[in-house]
Amino acid sequence: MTAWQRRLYRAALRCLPRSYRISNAAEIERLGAEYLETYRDAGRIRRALAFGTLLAEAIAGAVIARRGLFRDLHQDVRRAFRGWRRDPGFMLATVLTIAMGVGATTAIFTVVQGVLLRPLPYRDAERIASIWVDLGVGNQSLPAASVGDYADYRARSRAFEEFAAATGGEMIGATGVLTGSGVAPERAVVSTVTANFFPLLGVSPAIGRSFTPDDDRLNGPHVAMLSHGLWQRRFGSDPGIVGSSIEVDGVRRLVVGVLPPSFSLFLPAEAFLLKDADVWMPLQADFAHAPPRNYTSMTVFGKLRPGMTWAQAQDDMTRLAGELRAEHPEHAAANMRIRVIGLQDDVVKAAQTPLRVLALAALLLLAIACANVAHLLLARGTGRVQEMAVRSALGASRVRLARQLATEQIVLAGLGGAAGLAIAHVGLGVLLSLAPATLPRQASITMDASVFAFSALATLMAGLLFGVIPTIAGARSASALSLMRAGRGGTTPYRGIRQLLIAGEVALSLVLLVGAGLMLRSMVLLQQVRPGFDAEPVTALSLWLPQATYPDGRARVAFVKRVEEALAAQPGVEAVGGITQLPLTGSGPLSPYAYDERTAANWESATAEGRNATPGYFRAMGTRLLAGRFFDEHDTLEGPPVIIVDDLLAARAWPGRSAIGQRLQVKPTGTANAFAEVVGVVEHMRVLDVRQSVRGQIYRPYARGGSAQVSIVVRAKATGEGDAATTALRDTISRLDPGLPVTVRPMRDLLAANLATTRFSLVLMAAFAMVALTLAGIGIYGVMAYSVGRRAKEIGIRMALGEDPAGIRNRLVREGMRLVAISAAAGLAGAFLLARAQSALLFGVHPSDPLTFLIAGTILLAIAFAGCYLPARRAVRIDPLVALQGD
Amino acid sequence: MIEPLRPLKPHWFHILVALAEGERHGSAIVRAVLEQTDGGLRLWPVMLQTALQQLTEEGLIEPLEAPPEGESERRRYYRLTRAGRKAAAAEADRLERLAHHARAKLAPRSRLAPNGGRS
Repeated sequence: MTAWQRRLYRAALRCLPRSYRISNAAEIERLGAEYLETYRDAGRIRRALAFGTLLAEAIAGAVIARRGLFRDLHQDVRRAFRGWRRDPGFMLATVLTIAMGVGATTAIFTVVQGVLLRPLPYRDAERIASIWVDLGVGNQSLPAASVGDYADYRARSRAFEEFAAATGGEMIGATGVLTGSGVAPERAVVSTVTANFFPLLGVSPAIGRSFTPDDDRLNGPHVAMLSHGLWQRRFGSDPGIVGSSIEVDGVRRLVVGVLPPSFSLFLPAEAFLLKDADVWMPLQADFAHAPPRNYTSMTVFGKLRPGMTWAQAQDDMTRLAGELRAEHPEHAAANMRIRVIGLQDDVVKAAQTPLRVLALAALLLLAIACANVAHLLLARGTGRVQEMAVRSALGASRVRLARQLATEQIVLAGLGGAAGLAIAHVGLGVLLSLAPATLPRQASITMDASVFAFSALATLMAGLLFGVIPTIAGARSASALSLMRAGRGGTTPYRGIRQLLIAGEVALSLVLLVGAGLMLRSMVLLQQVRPGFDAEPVTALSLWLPQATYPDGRARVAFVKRVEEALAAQPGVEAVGGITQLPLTGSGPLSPYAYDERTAANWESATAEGRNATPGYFRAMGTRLLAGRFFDEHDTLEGPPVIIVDDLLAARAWPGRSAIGQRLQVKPTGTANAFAEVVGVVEHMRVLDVRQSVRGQIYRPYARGGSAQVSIVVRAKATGEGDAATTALRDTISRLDPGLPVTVRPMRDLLAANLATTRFSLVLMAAFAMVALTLAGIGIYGVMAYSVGRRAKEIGIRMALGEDPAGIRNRLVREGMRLVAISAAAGLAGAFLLARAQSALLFGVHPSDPLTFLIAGTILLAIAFAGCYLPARRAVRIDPLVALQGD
Repeated sequence: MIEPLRPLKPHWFHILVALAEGERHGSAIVRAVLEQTDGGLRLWPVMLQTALQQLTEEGLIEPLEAPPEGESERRRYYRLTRAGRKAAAAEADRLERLAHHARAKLAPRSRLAPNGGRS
């Protein structure tokens, strides 16, 4: 018998009754060892089977030896079910309460676990950092660095083991077109990475190899790696793809490897330079002819040396930023700073606040559920003191009685837990369907056993604490006879605890109610925000014009013009326009600018979103023109450079003056065409988030650039009415270029997706508040009905003596409501605290918004009033004679 | 004291028979039972130990105060009591009667019973 076999066998033997074990264990172990000895020369599997048999025999022996206990257990369970059959309401209420508490907590914490806590799926993920660079005071702050700086990080940093960089290359947020292989062309996301990028993340290819430093040198070979998804989808999981060529944007590239299915790239939301791609290519940066240091073209990831803290890493990079400022005037001018952020925190930061607030809310709900279980059990337990006392008088030991009660609690918790698991499962499905698309890492959300165990255990403990101890203590402290009398007496046992529990429930419910109310008000206000356009009748068609078909800007401009004309000819279409990047889809290329001597000396201090628009764009979007004019067909390469700016930029550059006719330095590299004339001012369009405007915007005529990435927006009466209209738009483009991939999205969907985080938090908070309110209502009703029931005799006497029933009723209600009022005050104080934690989720409403507090308080008081009034009314309606006889 | 005609559990019977030849310790009993049943009955550790304890409580066997001379000090030896011998013998008789009865019934019948008959 090996050492671990012996340990395992001993553990199994420990299940045997103690008295038996003491005299026999040593001999049994010896016999077991001898038995295994006979299998010494047998094969591994037979040896393992023999040991398994030995273990099973020990456990079976233990079960047989303890069958008395199992008989008791069986009896207890049957007794419990018999009791509940007499009182199904109690059991149902308890099980449902436990289920709601456990279900809600498990569902929410499962999301918290999957999104916030579980480490990213990279090797030593906790040491991977995202590097942010701040340029200009409060202007550009992005996870983006210049090629030169990246080289210096690698050469000079002491806290980091390695840095790797990635970018979309020439095309920002790049998408390329996959052609060839006799299949229809397909748009694919393309990102370029340094050779050490995948090794830094600890990702090895599923087949083939990773990029080598030789792949990554300037003018290196045309190679590519494929994502597992693309490999399956487009190449039918053919392992022969490694070593053969694919065509990306008309360039043939040798496939060297395929990434594993588990790999996905997690990025902070602001990392617009690259995406989790289908096709990966080596970055092949030109370090010798790097652009100026303020040209931040790559996203940089670092890996801390083992044992380094984040603070040490930050100190190291702060020192390095100081050196770079001293060496490069553009960094000095922009007061460049470097920030080190853990990649995991950076990825999930937007989800942190909503998830934490919701987790807090779920915990409150669990606490309410526990309180409800507790006083349901207290009420029932005190009713059973008599039963316990009688059984105790008949000779049942206290341990035996406690075991019976505990068995009941465990069965209740088991039923509640099972129902809770079902609720959690359904709830998680609902949660994920509601979850905003921006919620990171949704794929890593899986039901979490530890969370479920925690919440189930919490309710079980509440059950044991309040279901067993008071009853047993009651049965012990009084003789059976006196209890039989006391059982009908006028006192209410555990009145204090019970009131405390109710007070807690009321207070916590109010906290949740206020939270939900604040979210509701935020949502309403958010929906009234004007994002800078009218989303309703607008549909966007996003295109990527491949290099092969549209080799230069002129060809692309011509094609876009033809598309616009064809779409405008469709029935019901009112306006058509094109833009390089749609609003609410995040930051795109940034455009530094200067409007006076100071900004010209330090031109990075002002950065705007740079977009190219066709003449019809603003009209199609319904964006308001505040001054000047829109672009027209004369704004081409042949004409003078003109721009349209938004009101944000206009107010900053020329406060109190008209922007029309002003000259803005938009490409301050000293070239002749650096200045552009402002011909129009439009309202600001929200780029990232409906909640806030980030930076100013500069629009150039599309006809002067003709970029490959372009979205056509169509304002039409009929669009959005089913798929037919969408298909008609798509077909129109297909007729002009059958191979061109088109992505169709109603602008309304973009807007809705942007509100999804708020809606998600709102729906959950509202659901929690509803459940909490229901539980509190049931709790108040239950306690009131119970205490009124115990006082039936007193009420009967009072009425028999001629007291006014309405007066008695009102007094009972007043007594109940006094408790509610005190707890509501406590709840309001708690609500102030939660609202502060919640403030980052709110929009346009103050965390201590008096109206919300007032309404929440009123709703709660109304429900509490119903909970007090109904039992009181019933009590005074009973015939005094019946009440007195009932004793 | 066990009633003479109450059937003994089969493995109890085999343990008693194994001890009838002389004092034995646990693993010797296991081997003896394996032998006398042609490998048909293996006494598992917990099963054997439980049986030995119960047989002792019933007074059918008793542990030796000290191991026989020249034997291992560490092991506990058992021997059959008078009652145990009687119980085993009674069980053997019972089995014999049972076997006799069964054989009489199972003996090939005359051709009069069609289809083997049900009796």
